[in-house]
Amino acid sequence: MLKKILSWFYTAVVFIFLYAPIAVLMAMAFNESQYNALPFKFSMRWFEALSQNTRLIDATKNSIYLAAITGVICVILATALMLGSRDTSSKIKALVNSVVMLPLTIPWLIMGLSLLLLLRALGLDKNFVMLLIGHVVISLPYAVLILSARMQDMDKSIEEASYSLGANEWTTFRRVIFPMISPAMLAGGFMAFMISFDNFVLSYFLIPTGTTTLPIEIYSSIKFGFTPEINAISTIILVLSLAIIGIIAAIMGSSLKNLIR
Amino acid sequence: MSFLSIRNLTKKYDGVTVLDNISLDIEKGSFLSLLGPSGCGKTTTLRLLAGFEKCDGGTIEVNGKIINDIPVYNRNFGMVFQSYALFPHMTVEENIAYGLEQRKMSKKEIKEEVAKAIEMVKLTGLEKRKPKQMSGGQQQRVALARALVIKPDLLLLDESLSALDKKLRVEMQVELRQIQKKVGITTIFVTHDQEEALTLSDKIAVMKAGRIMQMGTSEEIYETPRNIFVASFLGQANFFKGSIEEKSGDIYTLKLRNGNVLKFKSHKDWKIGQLVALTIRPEKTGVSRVENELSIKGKVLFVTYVGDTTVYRIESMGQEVLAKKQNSGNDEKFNIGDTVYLNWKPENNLVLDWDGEE
Repeated sequence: MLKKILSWFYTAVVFIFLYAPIAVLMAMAFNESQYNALPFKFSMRWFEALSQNTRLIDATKNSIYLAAITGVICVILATALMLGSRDTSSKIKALVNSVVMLPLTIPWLIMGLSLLLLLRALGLDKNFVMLLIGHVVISLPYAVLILSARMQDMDKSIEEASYSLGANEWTTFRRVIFPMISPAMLAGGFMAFMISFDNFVLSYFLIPTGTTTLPIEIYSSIKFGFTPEINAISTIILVLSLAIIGIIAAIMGSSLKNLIR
Repeated sequence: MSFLSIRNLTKKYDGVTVLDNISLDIEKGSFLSLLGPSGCGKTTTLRLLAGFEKCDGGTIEVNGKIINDIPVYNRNFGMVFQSYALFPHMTVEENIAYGLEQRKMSKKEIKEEVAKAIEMVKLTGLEKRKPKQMSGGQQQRVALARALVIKPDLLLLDESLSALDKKLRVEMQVELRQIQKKVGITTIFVTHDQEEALTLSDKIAVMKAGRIMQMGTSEEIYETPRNIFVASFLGQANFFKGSIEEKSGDIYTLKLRNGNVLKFKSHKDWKIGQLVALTIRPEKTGVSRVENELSIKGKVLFVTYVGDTTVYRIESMGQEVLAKKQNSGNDEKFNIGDTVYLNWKPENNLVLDWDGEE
């Protein structure tokens, strides 16, 4: 009995440790006080203020725009890589794997700095394309991880069955492979989206002058003293991403049940 | 001219030869089994036929046309995989219709053909099921229907029954053979199960280490195996391995490695000193209390009653010998420790070449 109570207690502590800060952030978004001070008084004023704050909204739009393109590119690249490297020798597979996974181990700081130096060397200004390349490089490993896990437990003979029934490569991809890996593509894309959306360091190095992303905007507003508008936007983003994760989990869950024997 | 003919087919993986100059011919409408232990090249042969892999030498001809460079999807061969490889996101109907859709048939025709195929494999009523909602045997039928509905020139079966339990497997064997006969389709079946090969096939090709050891009807292969491997892979056999010591008329004296000597009768000409393996199937090994000219003495080590037969494990000539006797009701019984004499009809002993190895 005591053991049971203790284990519940332990779980509760871990949960509080993990989620209390987020709960506080969300609660303060609905608090009247400008300085996140107690007592709590419910108010929507920070959400109203947010709706007027074009700078913050633009930063959010930029971040979503960048992360969405990153996500799509990463999914396409990861899928092509996985499909392409499947039939190659184990040596090539290992090579592709390490080249793609390497950015996981390189600190973002160094990655950002080197991309910036590359720009300088090329005599270019900071631009959106380089920012996008940077984001793709750091997000790709996550998309690859998710997709390769799915592809590994896919039965190769299912594809071969499609060929033997008279379907060419494109038809086989469209009608057999794609339906089987689309949940993993969705999950991989979302993962890449989140990594990109969240990234501060790389964006800070590479963002074209005059534009901003949400992480950069939040960071700089902390320096100048911030209002709970940040809490408000964070809350909106949090709720939205939870909703998306929920939807994906539901799709993945049901299709996984359908797909995996 | 045969329908399918394979000439000098060779395949290497990373320098290792897995298929070594295979040649074989198959008549239209016949059922050929490729039988052998794992790693013998039977699956590789099938995959080369299907077109999933490219050969390193040789040709595959169908109806006199070399098909080596025709891609899988233009070959029109049906294949049933070991794992069935059904499309998990499609229903039974959709799975079976898939091949027909690739052939640009009209919706109406497809519907009719699919219905016929489903009826043939006795799955009526399960059209809307997904593969994972069905048993192994049912999935097997879907896979078979899907492969047959495209009216393939050749049906390829890759260990297709081995995932089923014994009872279902036997049922499916019978059904598979009936359907194959009815449709009249040339079929190549890969298996490591000798019993399955014996029951299903018109012809069997026994393979080992990338070569065909022998090809023939079930009876030919069982009754007159060409070498020790074929004799031991299909069914059981007693081997007495040694060298020919003496010859007088058609009676030969064989000296075994352990020094024991036995006599056998053969109409073939064997040279003195030649290494041979005298081979007798257990069911053709007679057990008796009476000695005769060519019988060999032995001692019963173990008796196993198996219902229709009794199996005797007998020590003779310094080795273990199996004898299988049909239980017909009034047979002579032998007990452990009895001294017995083993005999066989001269026409039932096979003398095979022996390379001197164990």
